[in-house]
Amino acid sequence: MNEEFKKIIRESLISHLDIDDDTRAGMTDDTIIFNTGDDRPNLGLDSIDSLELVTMIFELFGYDVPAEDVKKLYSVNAIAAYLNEHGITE
Amino acid sequence: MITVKQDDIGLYRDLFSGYRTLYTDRCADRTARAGRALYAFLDGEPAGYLLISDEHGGDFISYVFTVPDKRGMGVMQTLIRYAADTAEKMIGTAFSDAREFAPALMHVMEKLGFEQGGSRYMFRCDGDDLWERWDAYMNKTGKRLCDTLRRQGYSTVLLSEASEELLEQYRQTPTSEYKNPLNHQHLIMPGAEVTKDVSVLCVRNGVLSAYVFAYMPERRSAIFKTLSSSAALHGSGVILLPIAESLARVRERGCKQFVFSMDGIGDHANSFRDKVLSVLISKTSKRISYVYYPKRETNV
Repeated sequence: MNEEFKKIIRESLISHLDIDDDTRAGMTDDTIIFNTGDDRPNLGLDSIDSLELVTMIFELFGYDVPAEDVKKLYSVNAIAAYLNEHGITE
Repeated sequence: MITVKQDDIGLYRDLFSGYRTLYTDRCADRTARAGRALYAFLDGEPAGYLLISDEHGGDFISYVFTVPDKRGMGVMQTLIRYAADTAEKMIGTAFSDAREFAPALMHVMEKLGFEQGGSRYMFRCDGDDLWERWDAYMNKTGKRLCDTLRRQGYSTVLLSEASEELLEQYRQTPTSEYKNPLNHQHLIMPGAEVTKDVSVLCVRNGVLSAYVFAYMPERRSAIFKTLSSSAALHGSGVILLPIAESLARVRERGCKQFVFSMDGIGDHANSFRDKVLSVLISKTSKRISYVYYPKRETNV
């Protein structure tokens, strides 16, 4: 997957969602950002953050993620894969 | 010896300087004018009072207060028993911010035949800069997020203008209070009518997605309750749109203060409170309301 593409997603995520420096330091592209309803550790971002994420993706890539798909955007890699599936690669 | 006297409401503030309630003085006055006030005296000394409102289709204990150094002497129990015994139709009661004496209060209510219907968290929003704070949030973040929701096809409909088809969808929701008008989990004021032209349904493709019901007991204050989205949309933030619309409506009416009444504080509700409502909520306002209902229809 295009590393530059993922970098854009990662940096936008950090700035739009107010992720603090400590959290950012331990964050990888596989870190789960939202509570996905299972036991996996996550950054604890919430519903308003998810709406912010959808808005961010629209502003960056012009793609409107349906509310029902938000749960698929659970990490940087997951976001990149989701966008790839919808024809957005850069 | 405890004696109870029913008297003009204007007396209570002079008699009991410890008076404090979730509502403003003006709101308390209005509640009191709509009903009656009972005063308790312990050996001739003012010991407590209780306000009863009858504006919800029956007697509703809206406030009870015992002077701190008179607590533990049966004052509260005497007042509540008197209220219940003299009520034409007792429909319920709720106590807010009962941290100091909640255990005693609960004990008294249960002893007198009431049962606890649940608890709610209530957050008071007020202050001279209330709407400026909200505008600042909306300008910085809220409008962008609402635009996203609108772009995705969500729109709002006032409850007063909702089609029968939409209302029927609402009636079918698990939290519908139309289905059970005395469903204590979702009522702060049993029997009270929602204010339909400030209550908002959120819809997409004709399907009910979220809703916010508000009460305006008077022009300058409102109570927001039943903030909910459909299960499939939990975590999507869609509730922001009807909230923003409902706030705009109460603001148009001149509202200067309001309360968010939320039950079952879960992850999503916490999130919404922390990320959105926090700009409105007064720092000292977190209160828990315990709602009680009589176990049977008749007086206890």
